Amino acid sequence: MCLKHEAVKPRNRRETLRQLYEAHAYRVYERCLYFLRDRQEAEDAMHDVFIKADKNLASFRGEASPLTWLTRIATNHCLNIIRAKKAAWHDKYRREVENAPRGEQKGAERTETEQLVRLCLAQVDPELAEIATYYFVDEMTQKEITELVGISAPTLRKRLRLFIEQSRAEIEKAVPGVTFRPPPV
Amino acid sequence: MSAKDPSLTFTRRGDDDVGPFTVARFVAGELSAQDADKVRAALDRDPALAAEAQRLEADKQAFALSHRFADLEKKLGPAEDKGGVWAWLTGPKLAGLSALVGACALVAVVAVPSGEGPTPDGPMGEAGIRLKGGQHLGVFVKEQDGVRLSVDGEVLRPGDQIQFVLKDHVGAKARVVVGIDGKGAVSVYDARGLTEDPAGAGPAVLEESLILDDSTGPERFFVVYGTGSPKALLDRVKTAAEDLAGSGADLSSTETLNVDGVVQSSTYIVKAARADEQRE
Repeated sequence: MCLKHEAVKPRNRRETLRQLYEAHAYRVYERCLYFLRDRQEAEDAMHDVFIKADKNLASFRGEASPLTWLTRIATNHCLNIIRAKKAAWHDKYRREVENAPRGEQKGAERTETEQLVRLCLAQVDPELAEIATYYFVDEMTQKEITELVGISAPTLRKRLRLFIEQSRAEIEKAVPGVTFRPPPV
Repeated sequence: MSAKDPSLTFTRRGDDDVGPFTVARFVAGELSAQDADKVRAALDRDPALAAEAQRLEADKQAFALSHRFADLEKKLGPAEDKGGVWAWLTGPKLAGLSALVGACALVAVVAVPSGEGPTPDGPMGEAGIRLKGGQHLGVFVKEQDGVRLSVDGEVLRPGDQIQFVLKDHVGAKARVVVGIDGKGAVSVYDARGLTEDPAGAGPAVLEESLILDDSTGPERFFVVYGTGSPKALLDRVKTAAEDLAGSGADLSSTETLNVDGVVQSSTYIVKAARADEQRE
């Protein structure tokens, strides 16, 4: 569904929200669950995201795709939740990393990356956390991220490098003795 | 996880390659026909991507069975017309801007309550408004069918309605917004202490809207953040703005005020006469 400005006039508000929900709620929920690690909390957060979306449907003018728009609202909403008690969240994520199964099964690398990124999100600057989520978890291209966040490609790469640098310090605490491959950016 | 080789390093795709997020958009059905064809071709070539697409489809269907819109509607309450982002423009007008507004060479001021305007933590701040990285200040422009963020150097006309959007600097204790127009007039649009931690908050609009007057030329707006008192910051910023205005510097390329130890950013517009006025 490509949401255009005309589609969000008041008379269509609830129907538009329904369409958004039916098309994208599972992805919003997935994003919330990724951060919050609890199904009930994730569902509550997902509802909060759509409530925010409902309040601002009139202001959404189709610049980004609906999925991208909702992903960004969900990401920032969850990062705000985490930031409120970041030490507790960091401990929770660290335990998850420490207890993660070790193996080389298919898809393990992606899962591992998602865990490692999450470990660091509560510890870094909010802007870094947001773009790191898009880059490492959503696997958006640099072009997609620069368009979404409104920064230049060099700025994005600089921030990603900073995130990796700060993250490696965190990862070394959780997984002593690790070695790292060259950074991707 | 593999203890010897933690990776934030999986192979990156190029900007033109199809990645998981594009596949998610494909599954959501929001790609153009051309882009959808590109994704289908990629799915044929890449088993991992194809598996991701299948997973997303399955998740979507399973989710629809267990999470119904009606559950969300219970929290939303009855549907109502909350109006658009500019609904507040029809609200009762206040007597004027805050007492801090100085010589308003730029504008005939219409100050109105924000009402249903965009909220600091809403998607206007999170996606609808997209201030460039590091930017703390933008200018909304009202158009017939909505609002949009202006671009640097945009030409605006007398009567155009604008509103400032700000993304506060983390750790700042005070904020000042000033403008310098092409005739060297300095206007203070906002000066206040900041008490709430803006970490994580998106951009928020300044309450008052402005209507451009009929003066012409470039006008640059600055937002300056400091850690001292609002009054002290205002004094420093006003002095710096007046110095810059007096220097005759090119406002289209002078992006900062000469104030030490602060965080600042700026944007500018060019005010031009309307076409019919130019012909006269």
